[in-house]
Amino acid sequence: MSKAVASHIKPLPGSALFSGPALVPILELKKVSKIYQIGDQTIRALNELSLTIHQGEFVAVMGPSGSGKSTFLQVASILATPTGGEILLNGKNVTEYNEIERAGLRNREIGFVFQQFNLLAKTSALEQVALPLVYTPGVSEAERLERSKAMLERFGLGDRLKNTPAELSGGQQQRVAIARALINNPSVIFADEPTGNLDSKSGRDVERILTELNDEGRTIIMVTHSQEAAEIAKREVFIKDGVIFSDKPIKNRRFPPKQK
Amino acid sequence: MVIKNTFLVALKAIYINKGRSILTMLGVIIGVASVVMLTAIGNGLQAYITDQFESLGSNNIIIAPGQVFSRKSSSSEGSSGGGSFGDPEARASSIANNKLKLSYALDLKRLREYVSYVAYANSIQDEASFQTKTKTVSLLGTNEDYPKIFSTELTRGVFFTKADEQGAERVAVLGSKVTEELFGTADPIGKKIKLGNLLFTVVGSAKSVGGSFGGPSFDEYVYIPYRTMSQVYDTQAVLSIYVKAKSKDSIPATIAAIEKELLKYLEEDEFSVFDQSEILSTINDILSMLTLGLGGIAAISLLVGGIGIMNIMLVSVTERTREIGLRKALGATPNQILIQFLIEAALLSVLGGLIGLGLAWLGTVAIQAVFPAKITLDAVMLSFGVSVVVGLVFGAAPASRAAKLSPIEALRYE
Repeated sequence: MSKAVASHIKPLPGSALFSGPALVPILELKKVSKIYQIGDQTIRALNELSLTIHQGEFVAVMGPSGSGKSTFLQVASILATPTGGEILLNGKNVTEYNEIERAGLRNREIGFVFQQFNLLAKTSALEQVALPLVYTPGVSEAERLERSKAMLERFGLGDRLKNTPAELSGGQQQRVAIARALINNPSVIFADEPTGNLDSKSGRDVERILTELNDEGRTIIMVTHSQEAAEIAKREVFIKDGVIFSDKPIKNRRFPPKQK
Repeated sequence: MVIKNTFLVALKAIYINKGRSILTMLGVIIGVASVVMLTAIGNGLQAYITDQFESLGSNNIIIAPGQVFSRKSSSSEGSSGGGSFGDPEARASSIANNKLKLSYALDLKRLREYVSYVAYANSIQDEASFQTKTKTVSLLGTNEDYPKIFSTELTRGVFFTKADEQGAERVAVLGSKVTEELFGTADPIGKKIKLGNLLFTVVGSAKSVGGSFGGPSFDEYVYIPYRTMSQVYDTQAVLSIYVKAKSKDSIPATIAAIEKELLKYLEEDEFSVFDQSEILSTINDILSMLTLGLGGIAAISLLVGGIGIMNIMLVSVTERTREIGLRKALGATPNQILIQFLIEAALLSVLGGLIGLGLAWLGTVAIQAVFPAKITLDAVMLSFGVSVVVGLVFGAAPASRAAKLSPIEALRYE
């Protein structure tokens, strides 16, 4: 990892996660509900769901269609507000935060990796990665671009800085998106079907990157419907009907092959 | 810092969609350019006419047959201006029944207390020729005071004298165009030109002064003594009498004295006495209304331009829904999104306004070759200000729509 990137990664609280006893909760959902009212119909997408995710965990959130896993992602990533319950991020209750505070939180504490990449058209890779920093107060343009360049170099895209999404392969686009998710050194990375839109080779590359990031101590929450994709995580949370159906460590964890 | 970034983001969005941005700006470009150019033409015309009047000398009083202005109250309103030109039919018949006479003009010369100079004039069209060249000209039969009243300057020779006029001598002073067409660059003084069938000696050639109002240019006049015209063309008519008052302040009193004198021989509605400022003020009133009307019509295109911006911005918000969702997910606040889209709309109209001003400037420079036009700071400020306000007002609705989008809904948008 380059020095520029390393200087922006928050120090981990030792190897507590892996040694067992001193687990640091990073995201806590306490009896979180999300109820949608569509006409006369009340849809209880999340039903008093409680879950604690610790620093350095790699959690795969699974569930069938309509189980509430997408709603879980939205609520847990502070994109949507819960109807009931509390969400604690780094120990702070963020449930009552206003929209401006929530935007700031998403900017600094949360990284997103989407299935559709969600890159801006006609915008260079360098600018895509720098985008979150546009909304971070106190970051100069020079610093933005420098950090963005370092992050892209880390993911092997140092020669693609000026390329727009149309000039990048699917795998490269997703790597740009991952670089963007990491640019502000967030506490948690949310990945929504990150390999769902990729061919198998590019999918493996992205899986490897996620595994490596987790190995560095990054907390990753990945929503997926694919059992195979989930196997790279350490913990599998299965949601059904808006509640946690099962929550267990993944025994036969799959390690994507290292890049040759 | 964040505002600066938002500004740059908006600028980039415009740059990325260059083609669409230019088409969107077109409404504002045309609007601003037409408002500025049309008012420039109106103002230029006004300035030109004022200049022309001023170049004709000051303190001039004109006596014309019939009712030139529709009278509001007393005929001795003086130089307060305003009013409108009288009924054209009545005016035509009053010219036909012209009762002005040379003797009245000579009588006015006696009002020494008020009057510096008095000129009388009659006009006829005829052909002037020199050797093989012929030109249709306006002959103006007048007296030696005419150049003193109208500040007529000569480039060569002299104006004819009192003796020439009283002796009905066949002498002529040529307008600059007549000199040019008949003599080219040669000196016309002392040469004999033919007016009708008779030979006249050229004694002077006038400096170019440009157009007159509606009639032929002064440069196409040939000035001959009044009494010569009376003899040669067998006419006793006096089409107008021109008087130079002693001072600007004495104009109302001079008009009153002239009217009193003329009423000895004529009825009140058989003549009009007015000063130049009265004509100027009436023309300016008409031109101001015209400029305002033209500017108003052009302003409608600015409004249409604004609606165009709103339309495109609404399309843009819909088209960029996912982008808005992404920006929100990555930390943009609703206000930052609002400002981004407002800046985009304002930039479109400001850029459109600037291009419009540039085009108006180019257009005005081009028009100036053939027509007087003058861009005023008022028109520039007003049209530019309106275009910015139009951008902000019409950009507000799409921007607010973008700001209110839920990030989840926006990210899901297909």
